[in-house]
Amino acid sequence: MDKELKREAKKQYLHYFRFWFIVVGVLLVLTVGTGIWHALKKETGRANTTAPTERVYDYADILTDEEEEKLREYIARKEAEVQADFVILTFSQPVEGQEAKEQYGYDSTDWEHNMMNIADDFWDVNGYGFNKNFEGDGSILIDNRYQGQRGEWLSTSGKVEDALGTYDVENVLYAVDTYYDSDPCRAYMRYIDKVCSYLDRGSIQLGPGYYLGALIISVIVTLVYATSHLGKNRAKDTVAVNAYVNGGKPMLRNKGDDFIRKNVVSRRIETSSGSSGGGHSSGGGGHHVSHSGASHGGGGHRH
Amino acid sequence: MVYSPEKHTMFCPFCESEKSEELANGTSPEMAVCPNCGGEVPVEEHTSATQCPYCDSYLILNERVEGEYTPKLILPFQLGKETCKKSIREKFKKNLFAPTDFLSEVRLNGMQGVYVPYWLYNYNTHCSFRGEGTKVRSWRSGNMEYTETSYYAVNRDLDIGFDKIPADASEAMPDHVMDLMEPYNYGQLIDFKPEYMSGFYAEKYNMPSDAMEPRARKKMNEDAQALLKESYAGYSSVKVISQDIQILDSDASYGLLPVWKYMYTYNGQEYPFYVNGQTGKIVGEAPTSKKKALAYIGTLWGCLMAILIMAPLLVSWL
Repeated sequence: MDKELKREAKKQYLHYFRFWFIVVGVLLVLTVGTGIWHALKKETGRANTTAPTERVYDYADILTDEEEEKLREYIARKEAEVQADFVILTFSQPVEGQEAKEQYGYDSTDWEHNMMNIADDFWDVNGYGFNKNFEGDGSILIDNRYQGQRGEWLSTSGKVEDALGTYDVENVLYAVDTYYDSDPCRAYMRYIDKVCSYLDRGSIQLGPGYYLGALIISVIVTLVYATSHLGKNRAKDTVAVNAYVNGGKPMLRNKGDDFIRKNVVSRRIETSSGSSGGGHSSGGGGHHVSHSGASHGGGGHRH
Repeated sequence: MVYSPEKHTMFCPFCESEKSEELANGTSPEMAVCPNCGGEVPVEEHTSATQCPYCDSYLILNERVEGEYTPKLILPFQLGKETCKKSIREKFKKNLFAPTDFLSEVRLNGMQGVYVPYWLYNYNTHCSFRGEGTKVRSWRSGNMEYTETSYYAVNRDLDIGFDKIPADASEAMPDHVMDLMEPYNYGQLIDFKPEYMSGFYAEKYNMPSDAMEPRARKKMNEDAQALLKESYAGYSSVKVISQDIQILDSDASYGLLPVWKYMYTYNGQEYPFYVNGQTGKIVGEAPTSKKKALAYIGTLWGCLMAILIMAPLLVSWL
């Protein structure tokens, strides 16, 4: 009898949770499969093998050899993490005015326009991009240290271009500006960190906060479930007041509703004036097409 | 022969013949002789019909349905055991954490049909009410809001006849449970005949009419007050000045009303369930198996956590 009961209890349990077990089972298989695939893909590394291995071009010579090496190592680590290229180019040459245009063959006299083209062309000509050498994932920061025309430009490509809007590009540049004069190496590392943080924003991070949230949600749902099934099904008094009354209703012998008096009170209605709030909006992008026809995003700060 | 609620007549479950009578004579207040097998059947002090533990046939104790113990009225069972089992299963199917065998066929088969002794009270009453009622209306004009309150003298005089307010006369049946069994449809109440008791357990009244009358009077008073209140509905508020419920005359009759009783024992504790043998209304609370509850709640929580952890991982990797 006891054995039969246990078998019946087990049968009921499995029958009740059959859909949950199927969902969890399918999810488990998919997650494990996708996880293995993801890990293998990550191990495979970059798909673009034609781009130069060099990432730090210090033509302006503002970094020490140690700093350059430190940056190269940092970039290598970050590239593996976020699957996007990071290139740093420093130089010192005029990029503004008619003289510069003629001397260097720019197609404009404008600082911003020329900085943008230098960054885009450097990226495109070298064929950077983590996953492919045309419109591949990554970004380049160029830093012009020419007296009177100092400033940096950030050019983005592929998924970095998708992830960073105008506001985000500005934030990256502000992060660079903080150490632009005092510590250029640190400024470039800030550029890498900031771009990485925006790339991570697009992926789901299962940090302690998420686990705590999941725990709270699951506990609440479970409590609701437990409460709804622990209901006692108490019987209610269902006897109508006229259940035992002859004929179903009383016999009315006398009914009187005599008016006695009335009073009226008044009050002034207070009115309040409303106010309206404002808001702000941010645009995306700075998207444009480079000389080679590739799509880029980005922006720059002149010092 | 037993009374069949489905066939509304006496019925032999073995030869399927209908209508016959059988009464047993008691040898002593505690023992009765089974007319079928001759066995001595132990009976409780107030039992008037029971089942022979040897041959399973039902017997009615003659001297406990005669003389002063003759019920005037009886409401025959309208619902059979199978219908009641179905009702109980339906009502408690959502009690997921009830023990596995709570609704099992074996356990539910132990359900017993019992005729519970009731005193049925009749009252003729005159009810009067005096009070002050208010009606409030508001309106706006410009930036002013006006509220007008009108006062009325409210008078009501009602004659209310109460018919067969029940109060159970069984010490074994809990009063609050029997109150919850109500209402019964008295349209099916008929003059008492002992054969309706066949196939069921029954008790004679354990308490005299006078002892139970205060319970019926309380119900009557509550209903009369509610009916008076209904008669002056429509006022924003009513202040009671005086209210009087006067009983002009009253009497009581003795009747038997049908109740199915299912006694479930779990972990040494009894969980009684009562089903109105006419309407099917169920009174009783299902027990909870802590082990089962923990298993189900734990599994659900585990599944939820697994989904909440795996789903975003999967989405981020795809």
